[in-house]
Amino acid sequence: MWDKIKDFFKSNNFINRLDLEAEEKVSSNLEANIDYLKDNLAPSSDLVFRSFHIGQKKEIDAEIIYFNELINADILQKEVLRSLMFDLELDCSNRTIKKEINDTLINSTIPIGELETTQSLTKALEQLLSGDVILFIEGIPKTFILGIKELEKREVQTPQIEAVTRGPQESFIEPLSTNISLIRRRIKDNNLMIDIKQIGERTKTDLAIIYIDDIVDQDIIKKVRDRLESIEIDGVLEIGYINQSFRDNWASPFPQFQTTERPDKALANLLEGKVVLLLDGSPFASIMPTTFIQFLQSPEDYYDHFYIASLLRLFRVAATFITISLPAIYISLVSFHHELLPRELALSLATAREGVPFPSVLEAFIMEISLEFLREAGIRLPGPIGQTIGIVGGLILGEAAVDAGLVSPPMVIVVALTAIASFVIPSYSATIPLRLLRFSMMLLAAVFSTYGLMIGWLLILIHLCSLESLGVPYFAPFAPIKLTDLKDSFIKFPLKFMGKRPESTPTQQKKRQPDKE
Amino acid sequence: MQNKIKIITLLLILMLIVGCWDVSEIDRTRFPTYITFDQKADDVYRFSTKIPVLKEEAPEDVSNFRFSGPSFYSGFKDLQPRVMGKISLALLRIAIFSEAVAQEGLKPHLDTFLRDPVIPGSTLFAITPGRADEIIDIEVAPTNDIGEYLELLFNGGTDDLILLETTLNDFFISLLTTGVDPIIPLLKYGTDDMEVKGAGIFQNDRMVGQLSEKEVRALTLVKEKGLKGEIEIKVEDEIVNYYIQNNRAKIEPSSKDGRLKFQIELTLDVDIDEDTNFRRLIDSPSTIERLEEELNSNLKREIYLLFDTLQELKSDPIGLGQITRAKRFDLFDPDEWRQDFSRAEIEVDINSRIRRLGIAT
Amino acid sequence: MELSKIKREQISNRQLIFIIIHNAVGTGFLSLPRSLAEVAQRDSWLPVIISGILWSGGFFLIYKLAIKFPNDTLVGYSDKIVGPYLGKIISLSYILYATLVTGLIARISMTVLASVNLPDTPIPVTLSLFLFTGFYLVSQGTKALARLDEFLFFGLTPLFLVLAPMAFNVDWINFRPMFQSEPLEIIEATYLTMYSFLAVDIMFIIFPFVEEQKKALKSSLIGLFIVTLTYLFITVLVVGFYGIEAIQYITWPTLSILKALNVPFFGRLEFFFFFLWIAIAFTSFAPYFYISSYGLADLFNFKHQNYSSFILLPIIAFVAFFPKNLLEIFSFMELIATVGLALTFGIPLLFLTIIKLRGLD
Repeated sequence: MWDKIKDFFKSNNFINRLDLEAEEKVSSNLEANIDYLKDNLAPSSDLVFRSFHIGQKKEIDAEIIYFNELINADILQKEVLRSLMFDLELDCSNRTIKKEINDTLINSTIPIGELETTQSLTKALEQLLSGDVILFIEGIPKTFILGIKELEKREVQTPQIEAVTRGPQESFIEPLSTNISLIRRRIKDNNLMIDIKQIGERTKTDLAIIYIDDIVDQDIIKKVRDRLESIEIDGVLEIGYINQSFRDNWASPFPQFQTTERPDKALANLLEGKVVLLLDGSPFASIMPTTFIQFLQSPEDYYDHFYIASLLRLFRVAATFITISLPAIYISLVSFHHELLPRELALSLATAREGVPFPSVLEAFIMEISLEFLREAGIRLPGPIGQTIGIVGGLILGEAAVDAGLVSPPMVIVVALTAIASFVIPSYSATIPLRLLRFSMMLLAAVFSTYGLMIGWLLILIHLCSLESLGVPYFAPFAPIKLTDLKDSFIKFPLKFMGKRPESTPTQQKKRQPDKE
Repeated sequence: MQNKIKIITLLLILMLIVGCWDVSEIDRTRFPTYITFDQKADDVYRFSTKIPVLKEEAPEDVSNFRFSGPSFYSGFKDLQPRVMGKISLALLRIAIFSEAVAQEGLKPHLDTFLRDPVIPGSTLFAITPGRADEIIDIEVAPTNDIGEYLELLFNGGTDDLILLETTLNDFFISLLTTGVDPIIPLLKYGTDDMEVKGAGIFQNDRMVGQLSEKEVRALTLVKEKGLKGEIEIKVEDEIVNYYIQNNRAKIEPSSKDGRLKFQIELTLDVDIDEDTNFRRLIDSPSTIERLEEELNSNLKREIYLLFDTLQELKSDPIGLGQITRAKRFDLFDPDEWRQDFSRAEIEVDINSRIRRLGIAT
Repeated sequence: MELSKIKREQISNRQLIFIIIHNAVGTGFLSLPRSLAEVAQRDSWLPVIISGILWSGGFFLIYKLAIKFPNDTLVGYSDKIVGPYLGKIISLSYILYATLVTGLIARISMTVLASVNLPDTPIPVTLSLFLFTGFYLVSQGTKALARLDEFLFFGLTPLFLVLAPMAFNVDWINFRPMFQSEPLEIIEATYLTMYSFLAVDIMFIIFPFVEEQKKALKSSLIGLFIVTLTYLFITVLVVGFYGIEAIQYITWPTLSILKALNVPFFGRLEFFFFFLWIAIAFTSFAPYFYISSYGLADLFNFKHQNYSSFILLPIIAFVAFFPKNLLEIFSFMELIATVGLALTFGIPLLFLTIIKLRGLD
C-alpha cells in the first residue's frame, strides 16, 4: 500500500520538470544561445537580457543575462560592464579573438574573484537560476559565469531553541555560505571536507556534506551519499525533508538524526566522526548518525564541571522517564493499585480526588490535552502574548479547574511536573516522540495498570533496540552495551577520560589525540 | 503484506482497549484500617472495623461497622453492600482477636489473610482480653484513626522491650514450623488509650496462656538480637534504670540424664539511664560491678520464671525446638517435642557490661 | 541459512550470555524454592548447584555439535546428518517443543498476573497483549532480542536488589542440619529444577548468529553460571525466610517473600517486584517464541520470520489455554521439562554418534 502511495507521488510530482539530462553545448552564435535560454526559461519580469558591445571600438556583440533581484547591481555596473565596455581594447582580427578574449577577460579585465567559463549551456542555465550572471560573447562557444550574487540575510543571532548559559552564543542562519563559514572558522583542519551537492528537482537547493576525512568511517559517508542519490523530491525547504527521507525506519516516532542550530555542537560531532549536513535556507544542521543518548546531551555539559554535568545528565534521564510515564504511573496507582501507595499518601490522594466526576484516565487526558493546546498556542502567538497565555493558561485554568472540582490537585501537579520535565530535555525534536508515547502509555495504564505500563516500556525498548541510524545502533551505548561510551551517557566523566572517540559510531581513528612519539 | 499485518494487529489492540476491568478509583474505594474478631454467638463470629471517612461534611459515626458471619470472608462479603464503594484491605494495619477467639484457634481466620494478595504481610496481630469490638468506643488522641495509632504504638520507634510485634507473616511462619510456637501481644483497652500488657502464647493456633510484661521482656531478650530498651530494677529499694544497647543470646542444647538441657548465654551491653540512689559511679568500678551483678541476677530470675510458665503451658515461642533440630538433630523428636520441652532443664548465664554512664554521675 | 542473513543478524558473545540468562530466568524461579523444599528439604540449595553442573554438560554437547556446522541451525544440519525426512521430523519436533514452552510460559505469566495483579481482566486480553509484544520483538530479529536482553540485564539487576533487604531476614537455622536428605531425594529435586534451567536448547537456533563461535561455549557457561547463582540466591533467600514447612503453603514464594517487608514511604515492595517480574517473564518467553519462529521459517524457507510467527500465534494461544488449572500447569511443566532434557542431551548425542559412524567430519 505504501509503495502505491509512493508511486503516486512520484508520478505526479515530476511531470513538467526540465529535462536537463541532454547536455546542450554553447554555440558560437550569440543569437542561438539567447534563443535557447529564452525557450527554456519562463519569461519572468525579473529576468534581464542586456545586450552591449565589448571594447572601446564597440565591434563585438555581447549579452549578459541575470535575475536582477539576486545580484549586486553595483558590482555589475562598476566592475563588469564598465570594464568590458570601456577598458577593454581589442584587436579585432577574427582569428585571434577567441584566445585573446578568453585570456584577457579572465586575467585582466573583470576584477571579480568568482569567474568561470563553461561550454555547457545546461550548466549555464543552472548557474543563472542560482543567481549568477551569465555572459555570452558573439563568436565564442563559451559562457562566462560571474559570481556576484547578493542575497538578503539576517545577522548571526543567539540560539533560540538550544540556548545555553555558558558557551558560544552563535547560531546558524539561513544562507549556506555563512553557515559554512561558521564551521570553517572553528576548525582549521586540512582534512575538513565540505562537499556541496544540489538537491531537489525544482528548487536545486545547495546541500553541504561536511565531515573530517580522516576520522569519518567510509561506510557511513558512502551510505550518506547513496541515500542522497536516492532522494527524489521536487523541492527541499528545510533540513527536515532530508532527515525524513533519510531515515532507516520511516514509521518510528523517534528522530533518527539530530538537528542543531549550534555550530559548536556540529563541530563536536564532526570531531566524533559524524557527518553534518547543511542545507541552504535552513538554519539547522543535521547530524548523522545519531544515538538516542545524544538528545540528552547539551553542549554545556562539556563546558561545565563534570560533577554538575553528571547530575544534570541524571536529571535528564529522569525527566525522560517522567515525560513518558508519570501520568501513566499516576493512573495505575490511583485507579488500580492503591496498595502500592504508602498509606498516608493513599488516604490524602483519596481525599483530594473526592468529588471529581471523571475517572482518573479521563482527568489525565483532559489535562494533558489542554496542556498540549497551551503549548501550541504559546508557539503560534507573538512573543509577549505567548508568554502571557502560558501563565494565564497554566495558572488560571489549572486553578479554576481544581476549584470547579473538575480535576484533583494531585493531577495538576502530575501534569505540570510532566510538562516541566519535557522541557528539561535539551533537544526539542526528542520530546516530540516522548509526548506522543505518553498518551499511548496512559491508555495502556488505564486498561492494564502496571502490566500495561511494563508492556508499554518493553515495546518502547524493543523499538529503540531495533532502531538504527545509518547502521549505527540507535540505543547505544546501552544496547548494545559499549562500556567505554558509558562515561559520556547518563553520567559524564571528566575531560581527562575522554581521550577516545565514542565507539558506538565507527571511526577511522579511535583516539582523539594520536600518541606522540 | 507486512504493513497490513501490523495495522490489523494494532486495530485489534485498540479494540481491546475499550474495557477497563479492574478499575477501582481510589476515591471510590474504602480502606479499613483494623478488623476485630469476637467469639461466636448464634453460630456466627462478630467482626468490627472502621473505615476512615474522607468527605469532610460526613457525620462522624458513619465510619464504624459491625458485621458478622460464619467465617471472616462471608462476614466481609456481607459488609460490602452496606458500604459506599469497594472495600479494599490493602491498607489494613492490625487485626485484633478477642481472647476467646484466640483460645478457639486462629487458623480459620488466617486463610483469607493469606489468600488475598492485597493484604499486607506486615499486618499486625494483637489479642485483647474481653470483647474486641469495644475498640469502637475508644477515642484515642491525637488521631481518630485507630489503625494508625496502633501501628505507631508498635512501630513508632519507641524503645520498649515489651512491645513485641507479631505480623501476619511471623504468625504464619511460626504456626507452620515445628519447633516454634506463635506469640501475639496482648492489648488492653482503656477509655481513651490502649496499652500493651504482656502477650498471649500459643500451642499451634490456640492460645493457651498469657505472659506478664516482665516475662515478655525476658522472652524478647532471649529470642531476639540487637534489641534496645529500658529495664527497671530495684536495687536497695532504689530504682535503677538500665538502657539496653545490644543483646546477644546463645542457646546450646544438650542432653543430660535422658533429659534435654539448654544452656542459655545472654550478653548485654547497657547504659545507666537513672539511678535514684545518686551513687557516684566515676572512679568506682566496684559500684559498677555491683550494678551489673544486680541486673544479672534480676534478669536471671525473670528468665527462670518465664521458662517455668512456658514449660508449664508446654508452649515454645522462643523456638528452642528449631534450635535443637538444627544443632542436635539426634535429640529432636517432633512428635514428643512438647513433652521434652516441658521436662527440659534450663540453665541461664547472663553477662552484662555497663558501657556508658551519662554526662554526670 | 543464507550468509547475508547471518551477517545481518549477528550478535556478540556478550549478548549471548544475556540471552541465555534471560531465557532461563523467567517463570520457573517463582515456584522453584517451594518444589525444592518439598523434596530436598533443608538441602534445597544443593540440587541447584548440581543442576548447574549438569546443564553445562548440555551446553558442551550442543556446542560440539553446532561448531561442526557454523552456518546452520538445527534445521539445517539435521537434514545433512540424518537425511531430509528424519531430519525434518527431528527439527519439527524440536520446534513443536519450543512452541509448547512458549505457550506454557505465556500461560504461567498470565496466571500469575491474574492472581496477583489483575484479577478481573480476562486472560485472553492480557495474553494477546503479551503475544503481540513478543511478535513485535521477534519481527525485529535477533539483534533486537540480543540488545533488549542486554539492556534489561543491566537495567533490572540493580532493581533486583529490592530482594536484598530480605537477606537480613534469612534464618540460617532453616538449612541446618545439612546433608540429611537421601541421595534419591536430591536426584528428584534436581529433576524438579529442570524447568527453571530450560535455556540451553536456544543454542540449536542461535548458534550461527554468534560472532566468535569458538568462544560461544565459554559465554554460554558464564551465562549458566550467573543463572545458577541467581537461583541459588533466591532459593537460599526464600527457603531461609519461610522455612521448609511454611513455604509449602505458598504458590509463588519468590513473589510473596517481599510481603513481609514494611518499607517506609514506599508502599509494598512485592508489587514493585512483580512489576519488574513482568519484564523478566517476557524476556524468558520471547526467546522461545524466537526459536520456534526462526526454526519454522528455516524449515519452510520463509523469506521473513514474520510469516512463521503469524502462523505460530494461534498455536501458542491454544497451548496457553490447554492446561485446566494451576496443578495441571505444574504437571505440564514437568512433562515439557522432561522433553526438553531429552532433546538437549538426546539430539547432540545421537547426531554426534551418527557423524562418527558416517564419518561426516
